[in-house]
Amino acid sequence: MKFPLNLLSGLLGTTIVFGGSAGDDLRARLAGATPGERIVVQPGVYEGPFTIEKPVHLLGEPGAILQGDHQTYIIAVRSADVEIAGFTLRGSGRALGKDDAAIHITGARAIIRDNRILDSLHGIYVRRADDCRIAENTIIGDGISSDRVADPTLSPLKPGEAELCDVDSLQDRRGNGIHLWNSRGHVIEGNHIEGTRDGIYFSFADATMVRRNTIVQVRYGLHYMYSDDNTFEENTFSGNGAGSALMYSKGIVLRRNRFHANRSHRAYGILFQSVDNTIVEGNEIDGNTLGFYLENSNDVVVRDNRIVRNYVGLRVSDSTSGSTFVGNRFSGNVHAVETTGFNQANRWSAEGRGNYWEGALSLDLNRDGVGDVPHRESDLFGQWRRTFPEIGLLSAAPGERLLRFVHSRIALPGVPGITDPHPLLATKDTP
Amino acid sequence: MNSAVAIPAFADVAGAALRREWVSHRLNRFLHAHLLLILAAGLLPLLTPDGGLASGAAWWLLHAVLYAVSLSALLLGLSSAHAESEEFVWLLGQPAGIGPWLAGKVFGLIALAGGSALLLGLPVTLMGGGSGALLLAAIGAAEVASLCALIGLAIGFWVRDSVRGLIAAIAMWLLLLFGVDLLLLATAGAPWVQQNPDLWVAALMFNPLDAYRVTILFAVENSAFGSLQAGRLTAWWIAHAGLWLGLATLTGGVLAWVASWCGARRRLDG
Amino acid sequence: MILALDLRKSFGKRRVLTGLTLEVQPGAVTLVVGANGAGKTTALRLIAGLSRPDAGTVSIAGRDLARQRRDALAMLSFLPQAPRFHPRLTVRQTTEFYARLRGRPLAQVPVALDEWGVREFEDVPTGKLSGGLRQRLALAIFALPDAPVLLLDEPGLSLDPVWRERLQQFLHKQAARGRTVLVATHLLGEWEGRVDRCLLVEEGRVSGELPPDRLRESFPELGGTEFSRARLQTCA
Repeated sequence: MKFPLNLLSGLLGTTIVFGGSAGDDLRARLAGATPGERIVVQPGVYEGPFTIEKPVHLLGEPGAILQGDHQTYIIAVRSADVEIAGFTLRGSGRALGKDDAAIHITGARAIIRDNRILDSLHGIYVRRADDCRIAENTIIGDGISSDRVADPTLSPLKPGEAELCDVDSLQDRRGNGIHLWNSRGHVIEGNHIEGTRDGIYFSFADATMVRRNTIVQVRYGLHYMYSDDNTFEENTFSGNGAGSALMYSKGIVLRRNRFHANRSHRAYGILFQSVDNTIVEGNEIDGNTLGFYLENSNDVVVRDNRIVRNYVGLRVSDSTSGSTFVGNRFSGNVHAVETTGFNQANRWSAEGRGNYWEGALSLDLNRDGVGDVPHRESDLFGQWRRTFPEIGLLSAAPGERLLRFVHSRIALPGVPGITDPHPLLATKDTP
Repeated sequence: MNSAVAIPAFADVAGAALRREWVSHRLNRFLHAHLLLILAAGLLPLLTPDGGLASGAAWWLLHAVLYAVSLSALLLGLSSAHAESEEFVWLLGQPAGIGPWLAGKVFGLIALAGGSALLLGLPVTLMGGGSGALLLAAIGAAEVASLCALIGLAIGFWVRDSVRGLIAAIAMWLLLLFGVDLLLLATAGAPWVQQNPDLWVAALMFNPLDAYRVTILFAVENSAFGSLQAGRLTAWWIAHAGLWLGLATLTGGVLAWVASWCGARRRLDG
Repeated sequence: MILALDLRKSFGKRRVLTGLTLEVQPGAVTLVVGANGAGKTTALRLIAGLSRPDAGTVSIAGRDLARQRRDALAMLSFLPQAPRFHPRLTVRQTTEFYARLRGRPLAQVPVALDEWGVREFEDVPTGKLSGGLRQRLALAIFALPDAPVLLLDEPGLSLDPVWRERLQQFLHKQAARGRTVLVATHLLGEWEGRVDRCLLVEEGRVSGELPPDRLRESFPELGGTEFSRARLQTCA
């Protein structure tokens, strides 16, 4: 009986089931599979949920849809070495407390690739499972909601699973694109995440490589804490309500990423809160409300980044120390640098090279590409921001610009800001 | 015989003055400079690297308006007033009076200065970078340019000598551009100001260049105002920056119109 | 008719008009003469509504200038001394503008320009006109409203003798049409025997009349600041 049915369904290009649903059929195939078996799923709608408890390769042909029941996960990976590829998944449950997700993984070394996930709480949830590879998936949420985004520096993000139970409203019952908890060693690459609550959520997730992902129109592009030794390369975080926040972690590398147009009233291109021993290099931090904010973060190397067209390019609190800023380009920012004092605990040049500052005096008598006089980047509002917040209305005012220009040429006493002893001149090599 | 002498209607005189304003400015070098500036400023966003055409255009417009268009519009208004100086004795003796003539002149200047400022957004729009935000920025630029032209007109009517008038106009521009900001920056730390921040904010609100800057920064560019703890007036302004710019420039325009009228009347006894 | 009663005007501490009274009847050409600084131009500016008197009243063709300003000014055409125009506008543009301001049909513009010999310059910016041409343009504009009361301040300056002659003919023609014509001038020789009445302004008031046919004889030193009161033929 099965052979003629398969033949007919193959001819029609869809799954035909007599007596049971397509989902039952797939569940039966999963139950009967041998470890390492390739299960190719033909086009059609397969009603979930499904649980994979063997190391199998579940491969969907174009048009294969795994349909959730809106009660729980769509597919749960409970075995190591499982591969899920090529499916459209839709209709997971929406219970934040139950970790409902389109794909819920507790088995190590899972490979999740080339799937399209819609209408779900979390897209891919990894819980206590190491060394997963999540690649080339598209995860589409219900749409951005940047309302009532809390400032993580004022009401800190909370680690762990319970954090997401604190939803702002029923309308905001959205999960994360990729949620990693208490695991390590993953590779996350080439995914597109849009309209979820947060893009990629890291909590106690270490030693992971994240590269070439695009995360747009979510709340936090990167919601990250208590996670060490991770590398982010060539990702794009754009148009997110609150930008990307990294907290209480160390040993991170951010390289050649783009943090772009994160512009709500509380948005950061990148926020570092208590992030130590980290390298930030070659990134483009462009058009954000606050480009890069370092709070209580030590020994961070910030080099060769383009920090351009932000309302505030760089905010460095005085609690940040031992960090080095070198080779960065600051241009087109309303305020290039904000600081609460004179920021003498950080270095603004290394080995005779500082940063490129738009509008700096370009005196270079020996033509070595390094300015001959230090550049003072003042923050005229520094002392008044807290006592007289209206001062912010003078941002980019010609009078303020004039004073700043004068200060960059002639040191006015008592004006907060930073001094770059070796400012760079613009060259073709300037980032 | 006497009853045959007609007094033309307000609209007819205003229309004649408007037409004259338009015709006379076609050869006005200040208008040519103004248009060249606008053309250059409108093209500058096209040089924005990395495809930032749409996002960067309003920022360019802000700088063009603050540092160039405002001054050229002011000088346009000044030259408009001074060009009439030879003819005041004719103009003021007309039965229709100063009012309709000045009305036509004011609307002519608004059409010229404001209309040309609208063109700031044209190159970007033609290159596919048009947006609602750019339109708002261009409308704001037109409002500010119109007001500056009327301020220049008033200065020209009050300061009749061409050299002194030029000095007065540039002094006014520097006051609007730098003076208000520096004064407010200098007073920001004063305890009295910190206890009455709304007065400080109000002074800033009524400066058209500051109103335009705040509109571009916080309404067009959506730059986040970093201090949400600021007072209610600030919050209202940030939320209604475009509306306020319209109201402020309208109010300023009416005041400049009245000042122009008084300045022109002053000629009667000169 | 022009009626000015007890006009007084001071600029700062300088009293320019000290109670000037004059009555100018229609159908005649009336001259106002006086030394530099005597108050002629100020008096004309007050009558033309360009300046406000400190005291006194002006009536133009029965309309009180203070209370019925628009109506009074509608009855009047005033030619100021040494008129100048918007330098970038052409002769025609300038004349058309004033035609509109006085509610006159534009068809009359070429007629007026023809009459004063400036039509061939109609496309020339007024800033490029010679003094004589500019004065003739001013006369064309002055004539456009066809007003019942004509007020002229030194109209013959810059004109050559031919056009000065035509100006006088024009004014006599207007007087013959019943217009009221009042001319302030220094050029007594031009007007001697060709004026119906001549008022002398001295120290801010009308101090008498001169015989129209013996103007030069009465004022051999006119143009200076000194007068020979002995030669005056007083009104009284």
